[in-house]
Amino acid sequence: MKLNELKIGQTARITSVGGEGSLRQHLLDMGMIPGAEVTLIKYAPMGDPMELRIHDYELTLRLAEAKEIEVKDEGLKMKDNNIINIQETNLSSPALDSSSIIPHPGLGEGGHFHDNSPEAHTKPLPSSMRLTFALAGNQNCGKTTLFNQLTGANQHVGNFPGVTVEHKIGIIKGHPEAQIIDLPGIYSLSPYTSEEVVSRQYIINRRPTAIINIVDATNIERNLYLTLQLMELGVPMVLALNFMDELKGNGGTIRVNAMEHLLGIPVIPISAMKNEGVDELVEHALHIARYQERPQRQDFCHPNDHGGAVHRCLHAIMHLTEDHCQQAHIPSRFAACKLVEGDERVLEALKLSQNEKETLEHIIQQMEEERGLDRQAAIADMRFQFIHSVTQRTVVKPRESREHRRSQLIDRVLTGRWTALPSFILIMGLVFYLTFTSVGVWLQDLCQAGIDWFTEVSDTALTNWNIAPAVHSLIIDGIYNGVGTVLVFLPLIVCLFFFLSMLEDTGYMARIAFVTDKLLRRLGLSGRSIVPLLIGFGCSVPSIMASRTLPSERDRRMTILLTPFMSCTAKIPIYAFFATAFFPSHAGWVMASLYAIGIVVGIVVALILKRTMFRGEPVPFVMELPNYRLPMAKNVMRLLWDKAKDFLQRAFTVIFLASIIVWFLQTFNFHMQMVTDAHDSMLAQVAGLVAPLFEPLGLGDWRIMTALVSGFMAKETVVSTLGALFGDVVLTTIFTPTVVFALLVFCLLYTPCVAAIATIRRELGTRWAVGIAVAQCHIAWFCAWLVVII
Amino acid sequence: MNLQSIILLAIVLGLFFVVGYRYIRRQRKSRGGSCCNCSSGSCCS
Repeated sequence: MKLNELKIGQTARITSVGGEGSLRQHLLDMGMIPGAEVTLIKYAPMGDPMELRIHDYELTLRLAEAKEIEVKDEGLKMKDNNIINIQETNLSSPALDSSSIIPHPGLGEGGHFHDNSPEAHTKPLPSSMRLTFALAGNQNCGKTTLFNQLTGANQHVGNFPGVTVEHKIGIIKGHPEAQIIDLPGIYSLSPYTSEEVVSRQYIINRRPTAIINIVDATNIERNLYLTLQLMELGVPMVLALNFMDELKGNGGTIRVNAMEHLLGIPVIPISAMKNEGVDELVEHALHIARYQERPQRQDFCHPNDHGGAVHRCLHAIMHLTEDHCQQAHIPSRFAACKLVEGDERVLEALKLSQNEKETLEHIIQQMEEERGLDRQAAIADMRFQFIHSVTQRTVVKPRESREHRRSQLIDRVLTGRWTALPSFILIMGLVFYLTFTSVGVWLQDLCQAGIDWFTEVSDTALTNWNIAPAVHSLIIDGIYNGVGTVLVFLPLIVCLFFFLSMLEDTGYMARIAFVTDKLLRRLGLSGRSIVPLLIGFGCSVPSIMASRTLPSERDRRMTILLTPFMSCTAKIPIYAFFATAFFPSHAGWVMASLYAIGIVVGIVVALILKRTMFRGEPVPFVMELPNYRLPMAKNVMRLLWDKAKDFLQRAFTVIFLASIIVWFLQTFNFHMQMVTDAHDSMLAQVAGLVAPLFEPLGLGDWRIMTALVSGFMAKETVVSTLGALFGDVVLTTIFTPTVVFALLVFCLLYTPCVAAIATIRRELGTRWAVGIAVAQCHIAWFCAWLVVII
Repeated sequence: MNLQSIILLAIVLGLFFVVGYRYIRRQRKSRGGSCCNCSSGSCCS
């Protein structure tokens, strides 16, 4: 039977994994190998995708992909241990039973030199040499938390797979010579998403001095899969078992000495969140790096495993390609595995002759025939068998964790068939209500009162000091008016980011992706796109970068194109400024309608793109659902401080500069004479040239034009510029509500700010960046025109 | 224009040029990207 035919709660064993290419490899890397047991937990509210339990973790998969996987129902019941039929002879080291006491192997510790080469004993790396550590691990296993502990940095940590999208560099505290690079989370060294490519390229090409591999101890089987591949690279490596506190708290444990003995690398139990075991980890990491202690084991196949088919195949390839590997500086064991898996990049790098390529193919075909599995499945199976042999000897499985039980209960509501969508709407509604009508507005009023008081005090002081009118005007009308008008919106922005970070840190963001996948697929997107899109309500820059977690270029491009339609927090000042002035009793509704218009236009554009530029289906939805966790106050506060700091930096840089420039241009004419009427200023004359284009929208005022142009630098400046240009003029006497609404729609949809455009350029290239800016201006003009004529 | 006005104007203009210079330098360093998502700025290098 097919996997999609399973009933909820039913457990079956995988017999074959169909499909092709990198998706199939990804599925195998995630543990979907023949022989593994899989249990169907539930379907998403719209019937697709499905949530599965495999190797003690939850994975989502669409029905279309599930159809490719054959399973056999053997009347199995859901068990903790998912792999069965493992050959116990897989480890060539002395047999260990669970009661054996293994003396501490002391790997990575002073006084022990475990490298066999004589140079290593006598010649540790010079103490002045910079040590570079790569911090690698699966997604959502606590890498960034550990990075922050190691370096004292303040990188954002989330409870969503793929928070880190590009590598970050820091210096280990107390060790200025030791540099550490936080890499995006990866499941294996077979690149599937672009973030995985970043990590793989770094580890393979940049050759760090050593690797710190962090694994989630509560989900160790799947995590060790990457560990084995990293060990194959032959780079000195230390293994950090994170979440050990959680594992022990639920009655489980790991026999660290035994694991260290079996893997041949130092193994350190830690809790990155509680900063436990981190110092010990640093000591070991520094030691293995200085003495270049490489993993003692790189060979995970065994001559007795299924007649030794995989073992003979890998070793034959290692001999065949040895000289090429040396020339290409690729470890031969790693290269052999990748060649069997059909990794084109490795094959290209090795520059094999035609004859060697043919020999290689023959060896692999022989292995497939003897092993009874195709090449990719055989390698994945070999690794998982070794992992199982290790974990069987070293891991005492916990009872179902409290966190998991709690997650299951919460998920009954938040991903339940009838409750998921109402919950989503309710939660998002609450977020916007609290931000824009209650808490946020209360804080904003407080902020406004403070700024007003400060402006008044400064104004009085300047008058008392007999400051010249021009300088007085520059400070009060230019700087205070410009910066102050924007600063007042700081509370709203911090509030929205607070709620978005809560959604992410708790693990709900991943559920939103699961629930909305089917809906988004109709628009040509994948469920994972919902995360960048939701972040887009905060700021387009991180949102565009978050799109890197999407596994296909098509989905990524399409998501990036749609992100600017999600109204970012920088536009809130514009909405609030006009909504309170023109629609005082319906300000909340006007703001809500603008968000809705952004979403609707985004949907229309998505449908057009799906039928034109981005034909075809979005890529499969394979994602891990993390347990719900309570967000750490420190983490949330850190994020809020970061956002507030970023906003304040903008206010006191871009907006400060823009305010002075605008003040100068509107106060002087081309003869550098102060003007009494702003209509005679330089600004009025230049902006007047563009104004006719906006006549049909009723926005042909030069002041509006100036504000819109300045908005390209940062959206907040639109309001500060308007504030400076209109001064004490009552806006309601100049514009009608229809024209103002058209202006708001234009501001909502027109070109993203320069930072967002630069990020798009970095991600997609100049052509796309320019194309998006121009296209959005056209769309904005058209939609604003529709508002006017309707 | 009296002395205090000149001093104040000098301060404002000085600030304007320092902030502008630092802003442009940061933009160049980050190749136009923003540090919106990174607190330490290291990811923008």
